[in-house]
Amino acid sequence: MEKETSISKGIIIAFNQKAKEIKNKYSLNLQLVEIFHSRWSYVAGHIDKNQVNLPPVKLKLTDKIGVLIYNGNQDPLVLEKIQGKLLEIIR
Amino acid sequence: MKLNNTNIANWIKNRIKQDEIDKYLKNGRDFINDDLIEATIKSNTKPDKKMVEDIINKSLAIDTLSLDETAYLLNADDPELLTMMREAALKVKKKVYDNRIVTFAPLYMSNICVNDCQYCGFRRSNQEADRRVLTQQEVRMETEVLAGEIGHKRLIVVYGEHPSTDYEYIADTLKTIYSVKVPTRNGFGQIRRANVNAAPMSIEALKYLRKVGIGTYQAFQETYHHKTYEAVHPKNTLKGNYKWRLYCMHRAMEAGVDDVGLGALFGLYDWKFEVMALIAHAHELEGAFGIGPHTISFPRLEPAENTPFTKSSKYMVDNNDFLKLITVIRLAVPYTGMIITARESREMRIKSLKLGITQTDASTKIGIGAYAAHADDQQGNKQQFYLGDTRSLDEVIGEFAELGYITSFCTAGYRCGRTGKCIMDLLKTGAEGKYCKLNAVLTYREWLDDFASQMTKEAGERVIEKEIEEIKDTMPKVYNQFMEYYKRIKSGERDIYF
Repeated sequence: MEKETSISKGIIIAFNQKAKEIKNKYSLNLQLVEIFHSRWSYVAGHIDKNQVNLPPVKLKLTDKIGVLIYNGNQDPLVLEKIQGKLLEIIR
Repeated sequence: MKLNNTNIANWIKNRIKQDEIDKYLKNGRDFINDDLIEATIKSNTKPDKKMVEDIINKSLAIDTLSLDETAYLLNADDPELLTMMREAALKVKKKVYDNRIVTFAPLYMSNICVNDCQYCGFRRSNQEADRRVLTQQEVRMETEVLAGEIGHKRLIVVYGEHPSTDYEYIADTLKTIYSVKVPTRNGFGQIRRANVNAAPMSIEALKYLRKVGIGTYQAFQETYHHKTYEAVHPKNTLKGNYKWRLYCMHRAMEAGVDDVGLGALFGLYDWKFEVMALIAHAHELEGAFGIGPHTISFPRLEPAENTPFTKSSKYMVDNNDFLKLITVIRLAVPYTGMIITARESREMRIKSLKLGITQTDASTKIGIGAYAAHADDQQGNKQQFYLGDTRSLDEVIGEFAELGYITSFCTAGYRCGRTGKCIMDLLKTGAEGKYCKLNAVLTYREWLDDFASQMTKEAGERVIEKEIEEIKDTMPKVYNQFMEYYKRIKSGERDIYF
């Protein structure tokens, strides 16, 4: 049985593809979340589960869809590029 | 809408969605097989040392135990084996959650209920109960005391089952709770995670609650034993429907509320049976959704005003058996959070910490409106039952500190994607325990600076010093970032976390 999410399968598939590209290029792990007030609820993606990660950058794509960017690369230019790539998945 | 008996009867009539039960059944049956559970308990007795060692090793690998393995542990009575089990339980807890204890407070919103459960002080036939439902203004006042005077960051909000406290009311109260922000000594107080204990709901209702930021959804089966369930929950009541209640967590998962809390009320039926059934419930959720229970609770039946059943049950659990059942649950579902409440005495709570408890409450008041009223005495006609430990949060934290435990107010996980399947995986690998440690120190710092008495602060500083040293040694990669956060919190910034 699958849990209900308002994020479409198409967006999840697109996210997984982008997450793979971004992982290969920038060595960053991404998670897709659904936002409900303060709750950022896991939907898809990966983080390194064998160690503690630096706090993620929280990126809101819409009021309901967010992405967590892990691995601590806080370079604003890289983040801007990644944000641009991620926004493509909701267009 | 003014509620009259017809409105209430209609509400009850439409409450249970049969299709939201039937879709989960297998061959028309639910997943609790009483005969199988009884037979498994009877056939797995007298484990030897090697068997217990093997089972413990599975627990230490953070694997859920089978029913056969659980039964062996329940039936172990050799003192040497029991010592091994208790030591392993604490090891499991430390591996998954480190040495932190999360604290919370219950907040009762109402005591009006359409049900008539024999053991409950809120049952509709109890004429002694003084009934009320908090208004949103009263919810705000309660929250201001909890977040601004006591310093809680996490609540379990409790509702009776009644149209006046339906899911829309629950959602409004959650919005009110989250909106409260109170200045404190050095920062501000705020509830960051509101968990909900409420009667089973439809998938639609649960989706509604998800939208307003529900934390964990908690609903206890009370007893998993079908015949006992039928005996203590009159058939003509909503709660009389065993399967509607049993599958409420399936509906929660489907609705996307992926942190769910299971529980049984120990004292209604044989405690070994209830433990086995809780484990079967965990298996069922793991199998159906890949996500087990976020927490398991094991309240014991306590005396309640004008409720004779609470004093006459033949299944009351004594202290030794109670500590054993905690040990076995800890080993059987190694990843789950385990909650012991102020129903229990101070002594029992301290003993249970050494068996792997992860959460407890303090400064607890369970009367309706009791926090804002600063009610010192327990008021039987406004409470579901009587408490065993009414100490303040400051006293409880001070004692934990003297015992070497750090109190955590962490609510980070559900605000940064560590929910459902993700947190299950992190718990199983032990990674979540590291987040626990970091966030425990950061939130402890906040609480010590904003709320602690001088004596508790002194004990707390010693704990923090030791914890920071451990972080430096064991997590060098994040140490600098952690210390930056720590210093910012010391300077008055609040709510920063890993």
